[in-house]
Amino acid sequence: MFCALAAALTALPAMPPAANVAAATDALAAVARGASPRVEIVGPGVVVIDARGLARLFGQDAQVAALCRQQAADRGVPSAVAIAATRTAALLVALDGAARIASASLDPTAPGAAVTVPAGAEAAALAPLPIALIARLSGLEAGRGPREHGGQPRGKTARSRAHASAVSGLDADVPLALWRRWGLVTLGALAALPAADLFERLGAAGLGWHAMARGLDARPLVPTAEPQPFEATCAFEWPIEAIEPLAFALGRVIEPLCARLDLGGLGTVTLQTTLRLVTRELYVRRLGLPMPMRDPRVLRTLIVLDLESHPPPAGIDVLTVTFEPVGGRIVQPSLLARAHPRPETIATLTARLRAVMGDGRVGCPVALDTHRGGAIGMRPFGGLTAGGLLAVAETPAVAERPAAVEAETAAAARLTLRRFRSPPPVRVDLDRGRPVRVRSLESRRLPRLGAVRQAAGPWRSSGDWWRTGSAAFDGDLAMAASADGAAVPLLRPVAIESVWQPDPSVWSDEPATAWDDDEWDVVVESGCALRLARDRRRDRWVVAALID
Amino acid sequence: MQAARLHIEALLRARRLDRTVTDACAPPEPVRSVPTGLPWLDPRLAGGWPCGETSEIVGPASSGRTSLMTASLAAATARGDLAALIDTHDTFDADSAQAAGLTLDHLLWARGDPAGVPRPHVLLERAIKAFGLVLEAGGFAVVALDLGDVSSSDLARLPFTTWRRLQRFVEGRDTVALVLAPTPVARSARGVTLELSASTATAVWVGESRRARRLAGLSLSAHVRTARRL
Repeated sequence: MFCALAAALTALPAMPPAANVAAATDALAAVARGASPRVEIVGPGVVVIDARGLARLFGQDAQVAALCRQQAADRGVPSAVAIAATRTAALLVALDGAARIASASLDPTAPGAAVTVPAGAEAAALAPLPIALIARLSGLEAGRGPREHGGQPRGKTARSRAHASAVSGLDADVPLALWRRWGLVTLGALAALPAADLFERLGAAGLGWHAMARGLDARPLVPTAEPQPFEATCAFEWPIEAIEPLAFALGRVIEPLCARLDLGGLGTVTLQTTLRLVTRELYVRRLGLPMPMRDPRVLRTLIVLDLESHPPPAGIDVLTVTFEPVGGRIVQPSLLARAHPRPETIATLTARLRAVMGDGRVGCPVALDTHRGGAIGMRPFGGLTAGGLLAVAETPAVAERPAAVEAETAAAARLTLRRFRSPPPVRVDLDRGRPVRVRSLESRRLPRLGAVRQAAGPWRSSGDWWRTGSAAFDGDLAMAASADGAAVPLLRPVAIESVWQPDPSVWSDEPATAWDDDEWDVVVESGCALRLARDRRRDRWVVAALID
Repeated sequence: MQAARLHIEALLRARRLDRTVTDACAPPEPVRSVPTGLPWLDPRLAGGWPCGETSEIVGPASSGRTSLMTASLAAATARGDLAALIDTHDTFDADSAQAAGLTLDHLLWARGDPAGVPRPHVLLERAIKAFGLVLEAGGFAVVALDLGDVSSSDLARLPFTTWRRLQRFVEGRDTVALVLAPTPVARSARGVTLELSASTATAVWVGESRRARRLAGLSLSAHVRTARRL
């Protein structure tokens, strides 16, 4: 026997639809799991229980149905309950009841909201029901939940949905309009048609719909695994003060979690370490991983490196590690491309480099969308994707390109700059507006420079003056006119966040203040080739870059 | 006498020190090379930078050393390989590197923090430690360490075992360890040292008129130093 519970979704109190449906599904799942361990969440707001053997605990089928309906109502979910010998019949009757409750043609507390179909009478019980229920149930079985109720059913994987669709043959769209033209209104009318003729006209899906209308099951009940938190805790008898002994405890905590991930074919993309300190405070560190991982040694190393970079302020009493499980990573390596480091290796390497070089100092360079000289951003380094590998395997070798193209590329590649993030100031002597001598004002950073042998320029570059928050130039005391006409000094502008790169994964320490520079490329007598920049507002010269 | 010599050679071979002493006796192993990215330079290096060795680019400022390093990184990323740059003084310029053909997505960039570290030798130690970590991890075709702004005196203070230890990380791998420095410090026994020189004639100018004149690049003049037969 199967017991189906269907929530009357539109009868729920006004809430955001997604939260509404999720809460109703969770409530029904809780009611179902209170009755039986074999529970399948069919879709949003629809649950089926394997009701065999419940009579010894809860009484006859009618009592079980009434109990489930009452418990669902106690949780604030008006629902219809149906018990039948087949899963399909129970679902169709329950869906019909839920639709009637939603349309206010059935009182959720009335006996009609908890129906028991005797064994062998499924076809008769289904006969008067509207044929549109087939479309509703087919959508649930194929994983196509109603769009207005949040899409995919919870707790089912794509693989199980595909399997269900393949078994039942219900993945095709239900031809309700065609059936209406045929004059079919009820499930009984569809069940009365010859199966062979239906197969000739609608294919294998037609047979599936025909069986559904007669209350026959296309597949057995597949219990939905109850989500279990991937969390482990270790309480220490004595507080741990150092990271090294904590690493041993981490190993004991992480390894069982990783074994569970391995069994489920899962990986984690987030590591959360919660430390309860001797000061009764909670110290939480959260790490995002570039790919799903489940190697305990890698995960432990990442946590240890993170805690070494950000040590807790006091001794540790309790350690808790929480994973956020997702589907495992499936990789097909190429036999033709060079082997690249695994994501685990790259994650560990970048964590180690961060511990050495500092936070925000390791990643992948990004050219920002601005004309400001030397502006640069960073984003996390993720190595190469599988798609990248295949694309690279088809790229022709560089040496096969024509010689003329190669020469041109080589010449263009030779102008490479070494940027000064804090440009050293210089004194520049001018002759008719052109630099003739450059003197270093920071001899430790720039050696003797001397007379200018060759120069080219100036090239003017300005920008970000239009941006709100960068109204004045950095270092200036901007003036504004007050109501009585007197000049009023404005506050010194503060650098705002970099806004040139819309990608949220990119970070940059470049200020978005306005700039207005004249740039010169010069070669001085010492042999150095420099890119000089003159701030036009402050008439100040700096060496923006060394041409090398 | 012969037995004693063979015994000494066996001991050197066991400790992997035979390459520097007994090259004349042992047959040389073939060395796989990686292109430098500059076609005119590769024939002079017998195909490019030797894999599994530490090579270096040496020269003063504006001698084209950064261009050469960037070209080597760009050639690696153009082949679809990963490259890494340990940027000791945070001088990397993304625009010019991209113009040189470097695929930024394939580059792991570890940048020093000269403003946040008061003493230069701390900056240098961190960079060398990061260099060792990347070499030890493996999987990168070219790993470059930019010491171009480190003074020769700071480099001279490093223990001589530093470079030997780093060389052990890269030995036997398909990785080129590349060091850019003002003076020769790091070349391994079968690596290459490219000495570049700078002068006012190094700059290449284009444009006839004064207004149209611009600096197009630097012409490289390289002197190759290596212990291996090219």
